[in-house]
Amino acid sequence: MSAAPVLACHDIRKTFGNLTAVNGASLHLAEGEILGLVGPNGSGKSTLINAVSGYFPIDSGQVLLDGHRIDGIASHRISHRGLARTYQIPRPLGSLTALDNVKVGCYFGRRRSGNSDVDKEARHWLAFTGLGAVTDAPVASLTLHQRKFLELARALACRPRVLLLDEVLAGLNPVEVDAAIDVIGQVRDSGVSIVLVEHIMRVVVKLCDRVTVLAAGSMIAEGPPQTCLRDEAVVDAYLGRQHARGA
Amino acid sequence: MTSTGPLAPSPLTRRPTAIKLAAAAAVLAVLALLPVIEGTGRNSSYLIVYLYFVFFWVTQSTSWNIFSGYAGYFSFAQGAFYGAGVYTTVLLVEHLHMSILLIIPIGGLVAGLTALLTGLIVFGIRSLSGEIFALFSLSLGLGFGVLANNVNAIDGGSGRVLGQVSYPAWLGSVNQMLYVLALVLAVATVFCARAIQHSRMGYGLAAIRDDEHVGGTLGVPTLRYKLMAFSIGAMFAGASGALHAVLINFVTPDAAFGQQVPFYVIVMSVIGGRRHWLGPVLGATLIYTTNDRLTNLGMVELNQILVGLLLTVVVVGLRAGIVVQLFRRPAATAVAAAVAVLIVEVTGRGGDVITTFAWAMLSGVAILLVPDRVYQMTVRHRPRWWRLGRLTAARDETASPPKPRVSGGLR
Repeated sequence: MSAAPVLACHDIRKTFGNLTAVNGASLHLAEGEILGLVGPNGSGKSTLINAVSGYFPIDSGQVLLDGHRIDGIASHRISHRGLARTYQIPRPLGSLTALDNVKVGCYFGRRRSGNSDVDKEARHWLAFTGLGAVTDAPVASLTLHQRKFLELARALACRPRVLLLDEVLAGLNPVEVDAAIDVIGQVRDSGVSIVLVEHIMRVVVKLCDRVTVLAAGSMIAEGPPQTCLRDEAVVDAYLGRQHARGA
Repeated sequence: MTSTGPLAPSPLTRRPTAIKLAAAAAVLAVLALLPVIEGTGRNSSYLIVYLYFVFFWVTQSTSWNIFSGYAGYFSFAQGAFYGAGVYTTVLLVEHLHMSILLIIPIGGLVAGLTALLTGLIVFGIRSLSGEIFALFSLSLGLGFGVLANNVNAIDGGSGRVLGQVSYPAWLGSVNQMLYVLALVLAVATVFCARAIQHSRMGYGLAAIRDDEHVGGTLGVPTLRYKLMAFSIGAMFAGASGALHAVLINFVTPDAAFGQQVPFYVIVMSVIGGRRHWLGPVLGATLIYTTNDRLTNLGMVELNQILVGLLLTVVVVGLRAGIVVQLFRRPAATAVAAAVAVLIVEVTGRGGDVITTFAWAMLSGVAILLVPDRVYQMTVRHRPRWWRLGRLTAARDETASPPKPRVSGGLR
């Protein structure tokens, strides 16, 4: 890590009542990097994404984007600073068309396009994510796969510097997954740094430069995907201690 | 204007702009010239008074819709803002004998600032939900009523008689003055609502309505937009209330801050359609006209039943309001209205313009309320000559796949 990280989280804690969902998690993301965030269900991946993106306030810790603290500030300011995210369960704006959903991102994101460019840009992002055919469709008529890509198109329309992808590929068939890997690779090549929450190991290995493993709210391993995913503690966390011993 | 408004159903914006502009200009020209033709000398022309009330309700429901329709927060505070305008006039006329031309903007300002201040408090609550906001807004009107009833400087509970209100002589008789100013206010409000809908702010408010949190994540300054829309709407409501005080003349706190105005603006906007600027305009015109006709016939109770029935049918069957359905069936609606006019005129049942207009509107609405399935059947079997241009035919076909319902209601 030579350059300063574009996104850094220090010692984040988030509790819900008695449940500690994230317990002192830290991560850093270098410019132009894809960081995989993996871990078993309930390990706090989505909570961490929600905390970083300002969905809810964190109990302690710091989130820095380009060296500026973004924890505790209004979510639209986080977007203007250059952080965008997708939702694990797609949350399209239900009364609008696909195009208008993306237009909201163009209008209000980091770049804040004017009236004249918004239409062209929104169409560009829909075409980029393979949704050109459903541009004018109301979102209620979109399939799950299309909604997931609409999440991505809308996030990209905000022209982020850092993109948090919360399981955009879950539920897609292998062909769609390949197309998505291609799209995400292109996004990275355009200079966007990405945090990728993912369960499909094929995707993690193929896309990620580095992987951080989360278990029970804490970081347990970090490193290149191949070595990291063979780490004993990681196998333990995913499959249970007995299985690890047996193997 | 090539961009599709976020609140607009797409078929509308494909219509050539020149035709729409010409139609709007023609309607406005007729309305602007009416008092000159109708009212010279005699200030009791019923048509002028009727149209004044249409303008009043169009202004009120459109101003409500700027925040509550576009951003999806149901507000019962309309009475508070309208009443603030009414009492601004009462106090300024009583103490300063001010001209109504000055009072109207002041009334708007008073109501707008009221909304801004209360908005700052209530929108600052992090866990504010649509239901809590609705209750809060209800209490605002009630609170203002209590205040006016108990503070002698405002009213004290006995009501106030306005008497003579000064205005420039070139505005003609009192009724002509009311008519012209109400028309100006209505046009300004509707123009503002339309401009907001097609702007960046319109997209922001639509995002707030659909999913406020997602809007914030996409960069929409949700708090600022809610405050702006709430205050702009309240401003027009207050300005319109300030003018309306002149018409009512005898003002009481219970009437000014009561639930009649909030109730009717909600009914009008919901029936008309809340996502499009034209919705409240249509809703207000329709509801006020039928109300006026039935009251004239001495059938006020029937009016209540009709409004309730219409509200139920629209909420269950159309949800997005009659305006969306009108964009899908423009030709059929126009034909139904024209046939109604013809029948009324031939049988001589009309008698006057307002009655004929009421029949035309009700017939048009009847076509809009025909369920999609039945409508598609008749459309398929219609004769060739019925197809009024390729435009309408193309639009009917785009409407044929079952449209997903837009979720509305309290949020």
